[in-house]
Amino acid sequence: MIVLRDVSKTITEPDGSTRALFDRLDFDLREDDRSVAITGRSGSGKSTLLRILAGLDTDFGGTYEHNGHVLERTPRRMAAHRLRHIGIVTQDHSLLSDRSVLDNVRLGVPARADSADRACEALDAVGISHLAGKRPRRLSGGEAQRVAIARAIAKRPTVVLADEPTGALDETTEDDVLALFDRLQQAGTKFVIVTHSERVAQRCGRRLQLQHEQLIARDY
Amino acid sequence: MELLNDLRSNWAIIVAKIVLLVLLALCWYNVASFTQSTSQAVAQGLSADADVDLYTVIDDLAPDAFEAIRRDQAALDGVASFVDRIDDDPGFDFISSYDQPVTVQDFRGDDRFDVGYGTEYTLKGKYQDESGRTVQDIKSIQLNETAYEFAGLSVQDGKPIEWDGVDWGSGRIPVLLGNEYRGVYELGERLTGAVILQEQELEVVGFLEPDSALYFRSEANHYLDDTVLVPYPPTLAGLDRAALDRLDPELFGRLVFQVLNADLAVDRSLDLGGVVARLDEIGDDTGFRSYTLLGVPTYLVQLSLVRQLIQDNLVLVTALLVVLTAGVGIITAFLHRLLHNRRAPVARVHHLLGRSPDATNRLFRASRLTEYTAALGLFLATSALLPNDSATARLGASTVLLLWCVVDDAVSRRAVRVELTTQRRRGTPR
Amino acid sequence: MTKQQITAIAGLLLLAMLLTVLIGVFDARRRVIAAEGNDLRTGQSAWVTATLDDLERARSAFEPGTKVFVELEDGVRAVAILSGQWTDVPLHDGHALTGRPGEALVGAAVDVRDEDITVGGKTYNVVGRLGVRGDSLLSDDVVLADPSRFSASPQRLLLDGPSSARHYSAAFPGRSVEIIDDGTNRRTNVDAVSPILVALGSLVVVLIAVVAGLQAGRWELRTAAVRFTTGIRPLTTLRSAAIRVGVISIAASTTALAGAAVVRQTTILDLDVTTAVVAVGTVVLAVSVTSLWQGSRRWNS
Repeated sequence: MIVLRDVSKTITEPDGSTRALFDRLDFDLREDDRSVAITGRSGSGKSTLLRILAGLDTDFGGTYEHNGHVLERTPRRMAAHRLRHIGIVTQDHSLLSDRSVLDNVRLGVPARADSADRACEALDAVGISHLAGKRPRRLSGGEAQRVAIARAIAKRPTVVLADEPTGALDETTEDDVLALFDRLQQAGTKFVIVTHSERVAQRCGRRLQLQHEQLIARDY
Repeated sequence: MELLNDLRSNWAIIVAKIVLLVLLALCWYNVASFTQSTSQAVAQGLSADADVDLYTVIDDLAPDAFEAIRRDQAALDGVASFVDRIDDDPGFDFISSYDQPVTVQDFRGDDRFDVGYGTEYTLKGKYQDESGRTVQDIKSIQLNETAYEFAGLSVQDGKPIEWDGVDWGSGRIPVLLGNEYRGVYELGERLTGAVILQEQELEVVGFLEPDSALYFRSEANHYLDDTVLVPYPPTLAGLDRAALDRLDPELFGRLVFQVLNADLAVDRSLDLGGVVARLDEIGDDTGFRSYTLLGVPTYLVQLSLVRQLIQDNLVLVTALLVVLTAGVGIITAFLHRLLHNRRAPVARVHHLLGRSPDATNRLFRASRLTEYTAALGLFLATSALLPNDSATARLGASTVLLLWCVVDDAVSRRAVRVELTTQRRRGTPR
Repeated sequence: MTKQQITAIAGLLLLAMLLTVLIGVFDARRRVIAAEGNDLRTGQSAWVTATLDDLERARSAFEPGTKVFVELEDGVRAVAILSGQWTDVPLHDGHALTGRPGEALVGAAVDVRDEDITVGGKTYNVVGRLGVRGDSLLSDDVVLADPSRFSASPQRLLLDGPSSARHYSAAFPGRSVEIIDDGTNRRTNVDAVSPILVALGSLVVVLIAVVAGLQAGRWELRTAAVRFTTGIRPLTTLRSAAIRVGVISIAASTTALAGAAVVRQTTILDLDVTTAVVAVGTVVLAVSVTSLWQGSRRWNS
């Protein structure tokens, strides 16, 4: 489905020195994958890899393929790919405080006549329809995370990329969110989850670790 | 939808930006209008064309000789020819002007037009003449075409004097009124007034521009708003003497000597000796030599000092504009930063959800357009309320405002682009 | 507020103060240039027929800066100040008349011996040289501070000052007043444009002060909110925030006043921006305290 080949990236540290983040790294999200966990130490480049998968970062060496086609690595082309196929959940939710929960979720649906219906559907799927009219400021951490998930799935993407989705949650709420992920996976949505939590990683079908600028498969 | 959200969240900053922009545009407008008025002032008798040597020509006749010439028609013709020859000489500008009051019957104006108002002489007001008519001595300047042009005077309403058609013998003289006469007399109206002791019908053909002024009797700023401008005939020697004599046999004599006492503007390349030689030549040809030439050294000094003061004001006003523009630029940049910080999260979320950077930038285009349109509209409406109305200044200031908006737009779009391409680092540095 | 935020607020305040002083300089200089072009007349001018005694008895009717001239000889006049001080005098050296009889102002072309001149047998001490520059429309002028030069019987006097003709007509109803307006400034629309520019500039300054106050309040509120959660009483945090903003205001105001003093010393301009500077500082403080107080009301809700 999504294949990264020979991905290399160098970053500039705050002190001005450069460091290789990835060195001819390969990644593929297969058709039979339901969820893939990417783990690694802090600073190993997990979030950056997710941004590359999302098309938010186009500054790297290598190729990005989707369904066998190599995509042109321009911000515009990758945004179009992201709009059609990818949903994103960030650790800090990235909800906009100037509008309601429903309007936040509607942002995730490309402009269409039935965007409100899709948004409601998504809120329903994550179990928080009753919060549609509320402002993000008034939500708990778990509720806010659910809204972010609803926004990510509202357009029915092929893949949801989640960066530390339960990082700020307590264990009970984390379990709720992971159970939600399971349900969505059963419905056909694939997940790529960046996490430092072993609990979360163990719930995923495949586990990869970022180590020495490469992705290495992990067994438990 | 994003327009409403953006305006709702950021209205205070946007309103502050609009107000600052309007204030700055109004400053530009006022300075442009002042610059325009300065150019007009300089064109009116203060331009480089006015940089000449000025002399005064006066007759040096003793009273007896003066009376003798006045009674001698041939001698008067000689004086008239002398005057006409100087006026025709290409090297000289014969600037003849005099402030003989005009005695007007049933004058409609108030005391500010009285010859004594605002001077060291007392106000006379209305009085009865020998025939029992109610008359008033009002301010007037009689002048020739050269004097009119040298002063750079122009008509705001009506038409300029047709100098070739001025005929004192016909009993009707076209006159121009100063701007304060508006509402007192209308175009086409006639005043019956005595000019150089001769009753004439004075027909109002035009009103001068407001604050019209000329150099008169060592006074650099002699304003004409409360004055009646009476044109001299185009030539003296060629006048219809019979018509004039029918009105008053002594009129021609009075007119000739009044016209003779004039200023002579000479190009600075000709020195005093050269001027005297030329005048002597004309005197020899026409038979009139009883004149004296006085230098007016203060003319050029005063001219340059008046010009300097006007220039000083222009420099001062421009300096203030530069300072205010810089100040508004700085505070606008600050507000810009604030606005961007508030819009950035919205931009990032849209970009995250699949909007391209260009499309994300366009999210705020409606907001920006609303801001710029409001600023332009407010500026146009407010500038129309100011006392110094000027279409040119308005156009100039609007252009500056639009340019400012273009730059603001470009800076905003760049800021969003930079925001979207910068990855935010989380956690502590390694 | 962080150091960066304090610097930003102080920067905005200094900008507002700088504009205030520069607007003040503009206005003072403009008035002085106008005075030179208007033959030392600065307000509404009118010819009246009166005695100096009449006018001095009615001095309370006139606004500060009203004076009366009498022509003595060509280029020489005497002046008496009826109310306040005569400050808009174009000078390139010395200082304005203090009001003490025996002083004189003369143009650069007038002969002065040991800082004295003699007019009509009397000696006067020259305290200032007329004209924005040496070469000026006033270079041959002499102005004497000498009430004895005014006649005891009614004479033609030139009254000059803010709304002088109106005040004279109110104090002496029925007497003739001839308003005159024939200075160089009338050649352009500078008299219309200048007050508008000053007003616009002042509005810009006020807006900058309001923005600075609001932003200072907002930044302080963030820190104050955290302090509130640690148990510090709201009034205490508000007070310390207000003091911080107040200190910045005072520092900026002091800098502005010092700058104005330097301008006064170096340019012979009568520059007084104290009221404006204090007003700007007060606006910033008031706005920031109000915004702080408003924001803190939400803490308990």
